[in-house]
Formats: sequence, C-alpha cells, structure tokens
Amino acid sequence: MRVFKTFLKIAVHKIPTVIMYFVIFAIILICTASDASQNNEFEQTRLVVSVNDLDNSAASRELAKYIAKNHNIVDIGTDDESIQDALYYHTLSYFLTINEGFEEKLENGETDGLFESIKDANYKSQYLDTQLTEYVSAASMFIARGMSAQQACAETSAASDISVEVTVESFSSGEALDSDFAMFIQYLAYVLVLIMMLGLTPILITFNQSDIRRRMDSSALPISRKTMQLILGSSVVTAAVWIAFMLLGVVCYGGKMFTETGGLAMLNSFVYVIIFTGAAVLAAQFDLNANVLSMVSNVISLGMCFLCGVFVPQEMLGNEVLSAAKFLPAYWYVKANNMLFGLGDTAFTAAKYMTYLGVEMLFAIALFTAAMAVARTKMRSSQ
Amino acid sequence: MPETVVKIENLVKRYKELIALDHFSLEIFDGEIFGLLGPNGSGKTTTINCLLSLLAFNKGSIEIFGEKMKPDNYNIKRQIGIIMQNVAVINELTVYENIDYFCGLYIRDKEQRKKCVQEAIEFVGLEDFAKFRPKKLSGGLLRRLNIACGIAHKPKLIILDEPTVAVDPQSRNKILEGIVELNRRGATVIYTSHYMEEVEQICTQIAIMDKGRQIAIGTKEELKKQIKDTEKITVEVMDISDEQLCMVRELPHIGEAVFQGGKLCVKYHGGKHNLIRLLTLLQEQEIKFGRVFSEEPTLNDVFLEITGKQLRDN
Repeated sequence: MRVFKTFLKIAVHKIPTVIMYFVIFAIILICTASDASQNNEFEQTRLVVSVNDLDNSAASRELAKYIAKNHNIVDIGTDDESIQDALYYHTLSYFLTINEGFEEKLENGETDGLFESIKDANYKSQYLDTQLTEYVSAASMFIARGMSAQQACAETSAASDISVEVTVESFSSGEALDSDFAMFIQYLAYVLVLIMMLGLTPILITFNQSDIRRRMDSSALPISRKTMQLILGSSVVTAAVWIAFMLLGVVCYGGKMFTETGGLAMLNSFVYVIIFTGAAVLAAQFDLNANVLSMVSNVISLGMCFLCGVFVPQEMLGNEVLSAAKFLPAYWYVKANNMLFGLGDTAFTAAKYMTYLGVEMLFAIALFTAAMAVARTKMRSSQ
Repeated sequence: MPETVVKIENLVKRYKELIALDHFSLEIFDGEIFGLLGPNGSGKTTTINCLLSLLAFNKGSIEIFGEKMKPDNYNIKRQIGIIMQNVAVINELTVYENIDYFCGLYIRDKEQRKKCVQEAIEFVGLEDFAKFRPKKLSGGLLRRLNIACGIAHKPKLIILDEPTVAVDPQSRNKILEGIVELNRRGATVIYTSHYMEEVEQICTQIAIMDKGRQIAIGTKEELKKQIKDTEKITVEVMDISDEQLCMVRELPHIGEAVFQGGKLCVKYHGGKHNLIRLLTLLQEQEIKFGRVFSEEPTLNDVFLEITGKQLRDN
C-alpha cells in the first residue's frame, strides 16, 4: 500500500487549504445560526409614523387613531428640516399630513387630496399607502350607505380589527422549514466544489506528473495495483471531506441532521461530493499549476453556484439562465434541496427527489468517463 | 564471456510517419557501462522507453536478463533502476520519504528497505538533508536525490537517461563518479547522453545513434579507429613558405596540412611519432614556432566522419 500511504501523506499537506475553507464556512454558519429566532414566524410590519392633522375633525382623529393602532406614532414637529433629518436618520418612515377639509371631502365621496405624505425609500412605506387607500375605500363605502364621516371612519377601524388565522403550509418533506439548515445544505454546493478541486486535484496531479508516472510505471508495482490504490486514496479523501461537513452540520444543527429531511439532504450532498470527485479526477489529467487550478476552481464554483441558484433563489433567475443551468450539477442539487426544504414551487415527492439524485449521478458518471477518456488519449498520444 | 544483460534485435518504433527506431539492435553485457550517444531526437529515450516497456514498439524483440521484456514482467522490472533527465520526486515528501517511497515500489520488507534507503542516502551524500523537502534543495542536490530514488533498491541494471542535463560541472563530476562506483559494485549501466565527453569519460562500450539507427558501436578506441584523421597537430608559426609547406605535406601519414592565420594545422592518418617528425622538420627549416597543440579525435569527429554533421547542436 505504498501508493495509498503516500497519497494520504500528500493529502495531509493539503489540509491547511481545506481547513481554511472549512473554518470560513463554519464561521458563516455560526453567525447565521445566532440569527435563527426570527425564522418561520410572521408578524405585522410596524412603521414609525408622524401624523400632522390639519383638519382636526372627528373623522381625521379616527384616522389618526387607526394609524396609531397599526404603527408607532412619533411627534417630530412639522418643519421640513426636522422631517428630512428624521427620514435621513431612519427615526421616521412616514410623515402623513391630513389635509384641511378631509372630513368634508370624505362625506362628499371625494378621494383625491385627502392627505399628503413624505416617506423614506423603504418598500415597507408602500404598505401604509396601501392601508390608507383601503381605509378611504372602506370609509367611502360606509358613507355611501348613509353613515356620517366620523361613523364611517370608526366602522372602518373596527372592521380592520377582524382577523383571520393563517397557517403557512410548506411544500417540504413534511417537517417544519428551517431556513438555516436549508442554507447550510445549499451552501455545501459551493464549498464542496472548492475543497474537492483544491484538495484532491493537486494530489492526483502529483501522481500524474509524467516523470513520476514514468518512474512508477517502470517499477515492480503493477499498474493495476497503483490505480486501485489511487482510487482508494481518492475515496478516503472524499469520504473524509464529506464526513467533516456532516459533523459540522451535527454540531450546528444537532438532531435535525438525523431527521428524514436531514438524511435525504445528507444523501444529496454525498451524491454531489462524488460528482466533484469526478471533476477533481478530470482536472488532474491536465498539468495545471497551483495558481491556474485555484483560478479554475473559483470560476467553476462561484459561476456554477450563481447560475444554479445557490446564492440567488432559482425563482429569481431568468428562464434562459435556468435553461443553461440545467446542464450543471449544482442546478439539480439545489432543485432537490428546494423541494426537500419547501423553498421552491414543487411539492416534495420521494420519486422526484430520487430522479434529481439520479441526474446528479449521471453527471458523476460523465465526469469519471471523461477523465478516463482524457487519460487514455494522453497515453495513446505518448505511444 | 560475460552474460548478456540486454539484447535488442531489429527494434522498429514508428510515430505515425516518423520512424523513431529503425531496425535498431544492441547487445549489452554484464558489468559494462554502456553509452548510448546521439544528438537530440536520435532515438535514445525511445530506446529506453521500449526497454522499460513504457512504450509499445512495432517490430523486433527485447530481452533483459535472458527473459523477454513485457509490461507485466515485474521480475525483470524489479532488477532495473531508472534515473531520468528531469528530477522526478514528490515535493510534499522529505528526501528520506521520497527515497523510501520509490524504493518501496520494489522492496516490501520494511527493515530491508530502511537499510537500502540509508545506504542510498549515504551513497549520494545527502545525510545532512534527509529531512529536507525537495524545494529546499539546490539543483545539484536535487539531482543526487533523483539518483538515490533510482538506485535505492540496488538494481542490477541501471538506466540513466541524460542525468546531467543542466547540471553544474561540479555536480556533473560527482554524478559521473557515482555511476562508475555503482558499476564497480556490480551494476550494469546504460547511460544515454549527447555529451560526448561524459560518454568518453565513463563508458566501456559506446553505441552511436542517429535517426533511430545504430551507426557505430565499440570502445572509444575502436570507434576512433574508424576515422581517417587520427591526430591533429596545430603549431603557431610566424611564416612558412609554400615550398616548406610542401615539405610538411611529404611527411609520412599526413592527410592534410594548411597554413592559415599564423597557424599550421596538420591532420594525420595513423602513424606514430608524428609530432616529433613535424617539429624536427620545422627546426631543420629554421621556421620559428610558438605553442604546439596536439588533439586526438573525439567521438564528435567519429560522428562527423560517419554522418557528415556535428553531434552537438551547437
């Protein structure tokens, strides 16, 4: 087992590179895990609003009360400078001026010019615009039925108190959605590519160097035994990398790794790591130096992960991008994860999940076959 | 009659249209330092690759230690050591680990291997660098490590494929001394080079190759006998008349005598005491002369005589 032992000795020298990526990944995980409490819980957005009631009528006071019920009211004065400062420093989101004649206009069925607003650029401010539009629309309806403006405003406020309990259903495999755990599994698509390419490829390149191969092939060690030992070495390195990340998952997410979802996610990541063992073997057929290998690995890992929806959700990517991404393994890895964690629009079915894993396996087979073909071509050309 | 170690018969190797080896034959006997000399592209490395079964050939046969050489004849491979032109070591391993690794491809027994590795380190003088990684070694030390990796398992046949290319003169001499020592300890050596001085210095038998063919074989003395000009004498003279030059040309064994740029250059075809005869004539004719140079023919002259071109590119 001389070749195998030497393979592992060289692998030990690559550990610092692997550890660097592992530690960076672990730090990102720990940071995101500490922010986990807000996940899976939905609450109403409350803006910081200042109301300047120029009408000071019963109806305008009802409106001010309605706003106060749903948002946090502050008084910052009415001068432009104070308003601009407050918006700039984000101590205020929305400044509402209820115009004089609000009540009268409302009673007359007018909806224009009831109020004016100054707001920050945050999309949440649009939420109050919508609320005000709905409020005016509802109040107008009550007035049309013969109520006074004050009564109509009071009824509108009361109506807004009526709530319906909503249950969020997930497309996932049946367990509650955990976005951090899902993110951990999703981001493995990036880090596993880098580690396999930067960890395994250089070891194989060492054994593939023409002079070292010539020396080994002319030795008393049968070539078949050498090949077997190289395969064994690659398998051990692959398994070690995968196990290390699964252990990291256990440390960060505990029992979630051993649920049905966790098990399926681990299976997906295992198939994925095999694909990039194939990619590492293929890359090793070319005499790449460390700098070129690092560049190629980064381009492949980052490019593929952006295109396939690791960093950006697949639903936000264009159809053309997704069509192209289908030819990359990370697309199927992410698609399987999205289905597993209910992040996409596809409900989980075991058959579909296995189909996705099957597609990933085809990528692995294709890469190993390409590596063998390149090796054979090189051997033939040297003959 | 010593035993035949390597026997190559009518070896033909083609790379598409190019004939790399053209019915090449060779016999190497036990205890020889056999030099394969030829310009770049003459087929030396192709011959070595065929010998090691790293390259399939189109025609002919190769026998080593009386057995037919095949890619899976590990019994023969176990007795061969290869030292290549480029340093073939693993940068992540130390000097000791490198020698141990390559030795381990031949010897399984740990104790025996340990002894062999230690002896190889001592042989190449890398005792102080055993724990160094190759990147920390100078070019000369790297070459020594390269040799140690090839000889640690104590092969009976050592093949050195241009091991001194781009090596400084001091390291080159060390390497050549080492090769002679390995031969003295019982190894048969095949040494390929395009440096004729090295081959002349250490080889007991020399084959000259060109365009995949063996164009001459023998000891260096035998090879030199194959050429007409056996000696070249150059004398610095102030002046010499045409008449006097004719007298020089009439001396025995003279092949050519020319006077150019203050130098009288005389080439001989065999014969003895040529220098004495020439200087006596110059004294008799009262021709004043300065320095005298006498050159024996080199293997390059042999190559030039046979092929009409220089052995070295330059």
